[in-house]
Amino acid sequence: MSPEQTYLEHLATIERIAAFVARRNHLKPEEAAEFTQEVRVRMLDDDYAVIRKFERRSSFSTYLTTVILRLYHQYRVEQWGKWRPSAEAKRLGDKAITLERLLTRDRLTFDEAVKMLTTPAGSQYTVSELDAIYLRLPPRSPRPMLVSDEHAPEVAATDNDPGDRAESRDRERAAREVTTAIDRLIESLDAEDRLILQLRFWQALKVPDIAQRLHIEQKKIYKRLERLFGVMRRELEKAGVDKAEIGTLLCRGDQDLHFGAEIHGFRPSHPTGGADVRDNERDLR
Amino acid sequence: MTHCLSDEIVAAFVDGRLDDEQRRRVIEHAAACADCYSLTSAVWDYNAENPGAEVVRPRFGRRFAVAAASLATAAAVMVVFFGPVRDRRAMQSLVDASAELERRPVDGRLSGSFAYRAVKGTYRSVERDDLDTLPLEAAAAETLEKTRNPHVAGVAHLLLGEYDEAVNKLTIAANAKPRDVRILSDLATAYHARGKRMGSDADLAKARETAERAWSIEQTPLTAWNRALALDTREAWQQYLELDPASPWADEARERMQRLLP
Repeated sequence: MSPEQTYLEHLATIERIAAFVARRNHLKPEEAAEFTQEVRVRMLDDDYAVIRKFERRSSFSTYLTTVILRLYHQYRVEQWGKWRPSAEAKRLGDKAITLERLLTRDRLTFDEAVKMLTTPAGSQYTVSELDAIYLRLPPRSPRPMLVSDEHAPEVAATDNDPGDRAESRDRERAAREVTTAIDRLIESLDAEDRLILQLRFWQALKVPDIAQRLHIEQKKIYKRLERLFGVMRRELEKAGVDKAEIGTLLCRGDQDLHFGAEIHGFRPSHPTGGADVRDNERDLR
Repeated sequence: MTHCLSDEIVAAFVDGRLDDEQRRRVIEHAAACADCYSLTSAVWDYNAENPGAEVVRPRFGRRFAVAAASLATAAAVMVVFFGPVRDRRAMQSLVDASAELERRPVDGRLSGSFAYRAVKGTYRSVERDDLDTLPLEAAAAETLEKTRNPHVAGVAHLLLGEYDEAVNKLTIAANAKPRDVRILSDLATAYHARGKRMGSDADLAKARETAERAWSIEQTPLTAWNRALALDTREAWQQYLELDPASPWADEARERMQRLLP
């Protein structure tokens, strides 16, 4: 079959993958259409070079997915304009970049971003995953928002109690310190353990999902995590992390092991809502 | 930092098609390289969202294998001697029942020793007086009650026109035996049948991929037929005829080839 025939035969697959990438990166409809068009053009480039280079080392569908995701990595640089993701977001992957883009470039609050990314049901993002990502992104000061005098009393009325806000920020700071300690620990492990824990903590994946991705038996992953959690518990204790906090983080069941703010009863204080932005604005006065 | 992973390597890693050494190198790189980790994660997620196309081959540790081996031996003796016999009998009952049919239920060529019959849609779509399906229906129902073999169950569902169940069972069988061309061929047939019934391009694409995989493992009339059916090109039908130039299947292959423009 000629490369052109192959292209035409797989055009539906190509478009489906491009749509997946657009959804994953939360592109606007016009951006998604532009990206899909870009993918089609790049597939034709150099007499279907992408198709001709396929060596049959994987399924064609997986190969196309890899190629199209790589194309998106190139495409998004143009799409970002002057905005650039943090090194942390880059380290955490494309979902972190999307979350950071919404928080910093598009100025959404964390709650708004979570709502946007987890809607509709069955979205590629989960709340626990976004919580885990959020705690690893550098806290950035939100852009101050001017509030006219006539709205000032209303603003003051909606503000939370200053004591609550301080407590909330303290909890977030503590959670960030723990995640930093855990990530530092993950970096010191061997590659496969590191990858397992990254999938566990960064992507908030469950054991069956990790096993499927890495082609490792589930029981083996459970045993591995048990051992790794033992190591982590010891190291975190040495680092001075509160034992109860460690227990909360490591000893929860498979369903809800995450660093989610919900566990501790807080939502991140950095741009979570108008109140925080208005706080900032008032501080600037 | 070594060079980033090529698209081919990332895709082969995700599909579980690398040997242990290559896999170790990829993991070492992906754990340290943000770009490759991000790329691999996204491909994993796509495949998780579009299941069925890829085959997962679990890896077992050596100690686990040794420990399991002794326990498995006794069970294996039972399975080796009685399991296949039971499964062969179940498959044979389907073959025998299908021999009563005037037309075959699916376009694809099923593994086993099913006799050639001209195709006429799925058995549920034809008139009962045109096609006495009762023996097949009874045999398939009995098979589904008795068998634990997902391959045999998948074929039974396929013959009954229950394509969702057929795809599910055959996917399970293919996961357990990813290089079994009989299973892959039957899975390709199931995808093709469901794709045609539902007008699903995704299923037809999976039929092509699965049939190509079977063909890449072993080139036989069985894999050649289902590949040619899935690709539906003159070249593919010609390749079938090179393997089987003189059978009723070959006559149908020529007819199908003649319908395609040169």
